[in-house]
Amino acid sequence: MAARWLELGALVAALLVTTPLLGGYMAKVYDPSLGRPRGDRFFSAIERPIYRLCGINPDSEQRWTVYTLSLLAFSLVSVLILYAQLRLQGHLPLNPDHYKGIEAKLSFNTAVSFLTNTNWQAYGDGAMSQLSQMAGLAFHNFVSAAAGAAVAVAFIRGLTRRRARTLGNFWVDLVRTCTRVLLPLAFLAALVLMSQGVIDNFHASRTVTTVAGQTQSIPGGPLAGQEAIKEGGQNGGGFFGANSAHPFENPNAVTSLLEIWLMLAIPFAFTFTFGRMARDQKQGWVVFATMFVMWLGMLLILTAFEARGSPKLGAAGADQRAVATQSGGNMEGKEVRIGPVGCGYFGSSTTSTSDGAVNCAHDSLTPLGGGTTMVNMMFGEISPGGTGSGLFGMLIFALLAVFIAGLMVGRTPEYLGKKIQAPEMKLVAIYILLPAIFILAFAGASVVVRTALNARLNDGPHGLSEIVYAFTQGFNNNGSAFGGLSANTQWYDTTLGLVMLVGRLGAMIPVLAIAGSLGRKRHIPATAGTFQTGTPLFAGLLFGVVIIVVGLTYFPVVALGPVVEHLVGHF
Amino acid sequence: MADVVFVAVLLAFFALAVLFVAACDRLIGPDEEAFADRAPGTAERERRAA
Repeated sequence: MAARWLELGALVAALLVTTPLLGGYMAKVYDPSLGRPRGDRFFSAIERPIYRLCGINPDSEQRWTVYTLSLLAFSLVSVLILYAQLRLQGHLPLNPDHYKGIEAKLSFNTAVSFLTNTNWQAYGDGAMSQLSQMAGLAFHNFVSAAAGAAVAVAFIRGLTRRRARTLGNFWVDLVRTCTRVLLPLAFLAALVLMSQGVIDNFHASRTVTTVAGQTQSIPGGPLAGQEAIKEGGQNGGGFFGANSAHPFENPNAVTSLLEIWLMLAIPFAFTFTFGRMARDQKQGWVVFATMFVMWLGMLLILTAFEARGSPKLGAAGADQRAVATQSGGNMEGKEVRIGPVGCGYFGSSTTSTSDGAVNCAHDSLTPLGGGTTMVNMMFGEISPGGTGSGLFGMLIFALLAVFIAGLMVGRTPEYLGKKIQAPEMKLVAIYILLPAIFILAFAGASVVVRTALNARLNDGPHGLSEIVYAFTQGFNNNGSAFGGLSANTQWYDTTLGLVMLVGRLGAMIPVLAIAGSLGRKRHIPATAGTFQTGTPLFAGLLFGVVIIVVGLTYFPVVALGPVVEHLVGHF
Repeated sequence: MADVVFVAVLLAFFALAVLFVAACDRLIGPDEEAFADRAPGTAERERRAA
């Protein structure tokens, strides 16, 4: 157990060290007025041909509508190409295992899933060719994360610029995020992962005879590079269905710790980037502190539920004590080498971010443990969320918090010296209502549509949790699977695809509109009556607003699912 | 046939997204309205002050 506390301490220390380092570097990448970022000449030499080839003028800037339409155009073209690639993979090269083209509904679901940074895998092992993995899925691992970062940067510019018509250039932000942030991070992480035993080759599956005389199929493939961006870009779609429980993806404790850090590093670093670009680091630390408390709190809660064990297993005669030869706790759905604590750290981090990689079966978590992962996603992936999407999600809540504070004291709310008025609050309301409408409506419809209901593995509250989890992860672009639900059906492939699209692109539109609106406003100097947002008091208010909004929206369905299961099942 | 349906669904979604962009732009109002109260040279002065 001491080793597990040490692991958590090392993770926290690594995050505290890398947040300012990485965040400060990213701030220079996105705001050249802060100074030249490291490697500027090297990366500029890579970027210039890309701009020339694509006809991009890196010095031009875009109004929010043009920025958003660029995002939509890029998304439409790339999702159609991925859809075609998956359908035609049987006729394309780098397919040593001779996989056939993916069926239409699954291609739609998978293409949308990777476009939206969800990376939900309705397909199983033995479906994707190496070309599909590398040029299709891994490519989207980079660009989908970069698109999220671009929107966050545009949002920061909207908050911090004064009387400006433009928010930057989407294409430049997209390219720079890939070349200067994601690729270097993924390259370095892939080297470390390979050194620890994560495979990276172009082999087809090989059949070998084991020591016991049985035959076994050993898969090959370019894993390490994909694993690095899978975690670093909060994608989560594993090369194998078992994801980070597979020893080829996550062979030991070092890789496990590295993968959790990769999930969290960029989203936390974005808070520092925000503070630096706002020229007020306190603002960044307030957002960081709120995210950090939420992440750590939920991690400890989930770990405690799993480490305590399951009364069901105890009644069946299982020994769940922590002794020298076993970690103890609820071991259902967990590898012995990972155990309930390793699952708690990874499971909570993967659902707090928009990552979605798993190292244990979330369907086998204790009811309240499973509920914890669900609530993590219901927060809207803001603790710390995805690449960029976590930051703008939390800043939307910050606007709501200053609005509520303004109502309490009878002043027009302000944030970073910008007046928050009716148009912005309407857009904030749309952003906050969208998930509630889509998650609850589609989950509700799935309870009454017979084919959807039949896809559950379990009846009763656990079955409801399986359905609600699927739509919650889909809208919040998480991609983790509760398991149990047979998601590769016409209903779930189509509805989850739509929910992912709305959750990603539909939610980004009001965010960019708010940025466009705020960017045009003049800066109001702070006075004695201004509500200070760079203080612990504001962090507390922000935390409270998130809890109240999410609690009011989802409490009934969480009560009917995990809470009823806990009470009725005598856990 | 299924390919046509799914491609049509994608195109329809993106068409709706473009309409949503237009609706949001209408909600926040035109740039001219937001900048109507500016004196000549204000932008340059503000940029220098920032």
